[in-house]
Amino acid sequence: MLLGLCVPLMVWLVVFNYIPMVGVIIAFKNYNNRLGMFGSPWVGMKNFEYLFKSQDFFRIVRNTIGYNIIFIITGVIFAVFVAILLNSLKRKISVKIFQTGYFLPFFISWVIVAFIVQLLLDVDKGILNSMITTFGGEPVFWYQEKYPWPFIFTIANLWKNFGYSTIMYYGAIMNIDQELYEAAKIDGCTEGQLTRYITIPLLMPMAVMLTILSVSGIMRGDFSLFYYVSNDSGMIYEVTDIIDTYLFRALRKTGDMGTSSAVGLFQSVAGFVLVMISNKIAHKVDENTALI
Amino acid sequence: MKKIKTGKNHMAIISKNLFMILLLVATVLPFILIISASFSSQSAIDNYGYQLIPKEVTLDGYKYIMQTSDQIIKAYVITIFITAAGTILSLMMNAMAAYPLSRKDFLYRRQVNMFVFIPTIISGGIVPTYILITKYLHMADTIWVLFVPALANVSRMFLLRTFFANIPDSLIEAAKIEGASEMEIFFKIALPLVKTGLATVAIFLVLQFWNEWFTALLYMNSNKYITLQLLLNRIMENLQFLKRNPDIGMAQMMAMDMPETAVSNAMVIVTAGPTLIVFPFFQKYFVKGITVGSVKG
Repeated sequence: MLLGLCVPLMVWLVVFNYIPMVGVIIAFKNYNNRLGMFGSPWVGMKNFEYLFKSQDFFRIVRNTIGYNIIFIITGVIFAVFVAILLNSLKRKISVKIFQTGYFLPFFISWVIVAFIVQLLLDVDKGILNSMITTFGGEPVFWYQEKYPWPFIFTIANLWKNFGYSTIMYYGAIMNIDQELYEAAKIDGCTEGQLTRYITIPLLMPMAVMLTILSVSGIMRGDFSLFYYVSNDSGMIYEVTDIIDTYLFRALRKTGDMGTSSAVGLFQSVAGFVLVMISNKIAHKVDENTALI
Repeated sequence: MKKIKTGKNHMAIISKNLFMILLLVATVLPFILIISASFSSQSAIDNYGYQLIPKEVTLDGYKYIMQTSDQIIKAYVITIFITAAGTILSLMMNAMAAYPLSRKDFLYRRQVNMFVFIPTIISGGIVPTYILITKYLHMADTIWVLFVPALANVSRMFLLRTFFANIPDSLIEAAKIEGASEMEIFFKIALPLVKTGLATVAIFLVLQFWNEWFTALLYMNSNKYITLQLLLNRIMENLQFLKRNPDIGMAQMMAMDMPETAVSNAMVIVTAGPTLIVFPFFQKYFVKGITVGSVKG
């Protein structure tokens, strides 16, 4: 009877997760839409050869991993920082107000974030360029310059997501035994020392754990972030293209099944390996944690 | 920095509060500006740019949207439908699987756990899924593709499992002794006890479906079943296009008529408004759910 309750979920997984797994063979074929998955001719590793040789591949992998690392590091530091600040507030109502505000960006879609970014970066009407020209400078073609984008993406990612992580760390801080703080205060500790010697060390396990678990997702990027915020501007692909956006374009725009399936397979396999590794490491660090 | 032992460090307190307030401004200000611009007249925006309070308050932006776009009403209907259907069905499906997995006396616990866990680490990738859905299931360009594939979500299910696991075994034992069937126990005892968990997952789901656009982007060839977010994006792209090509006849006409900025801002309010308004009411559950989930690890 209990098993019966599980059936719908399992059926869904079979249809939408297990069956597509068969499709990995497409990566080894020269896919032809008419002939379908099983009728298309076998080409072995040709798709992968082509992929690894191309400059594109190096670029998208570098971008995907690079951005993920930056996001993880900045994300954790910023969220912990804000959580500690929140904790130092005396009044509960202040905490509620700040928390609500900080959480707002989490609830909108990246399309809207892209809109807001555009308010700032538009060539003619953008707020940034207006300020620059007011001071006598030349307006900048933001969507065509490469170098600011890593910063833009990092800030956008922080802005949208920090509310969520901050709440998690804040919750963890709440769980710290107040007696520790009391005892330290009696010994004459200042606020700064309380933070340095009690709060941060006690938050470390959680931060480390979350970081390790995030590493397992390092091969995947948040498509919407990169696609929409950059307005899919081709001139800056060098810094804005990640595996997922590349896949999307290959799938929808050029219809290049061979390359896209090779990339997809690479992403899945690399992702799987990373999950296994990060899980092992997480388990070593804290025995209670394991995905399995 | 040596501080006076008994005194408070005023510099630190001031800079701390300043930082937090600035951060709050950074998160809230964009929304205020957008709301203000959506209620402003186009000329005020052209002359003064974005203001906290519009210099000339009008409903032009909204009026324009209502008149020229029954696409918007349609997108609203579709998005509401998939959000409601998707959330309820997904919640049921995941809860139904989470409950047995939380029971230590479930016979097939190990096997089912393994079975549902594997897809989270191995996946066929986007290409085979795309082919399956378009070629074999013929779901492209239908409304079903917008929520049916997304119903099963193992990580959410695991979260629910944690909540179910907190139910004391003795309670279930007692119910069994009273002669209750498994179904009865599930619906009458277990489900009500995990209300917080259900609420948290429900909020995530609502968010996910309401902001859905990627699936629509990928699978919709016609404009028949577009979600709100995608519509927003398409309209903004068109506005950009019109702006850059004023020599195209019809574009010229439209561009002159349309209070462009007011409209785009109104569009944002129309699409994001509901979530932003509803969220504060559920913040309590949401926060509780996240902290429970994170502390348990």
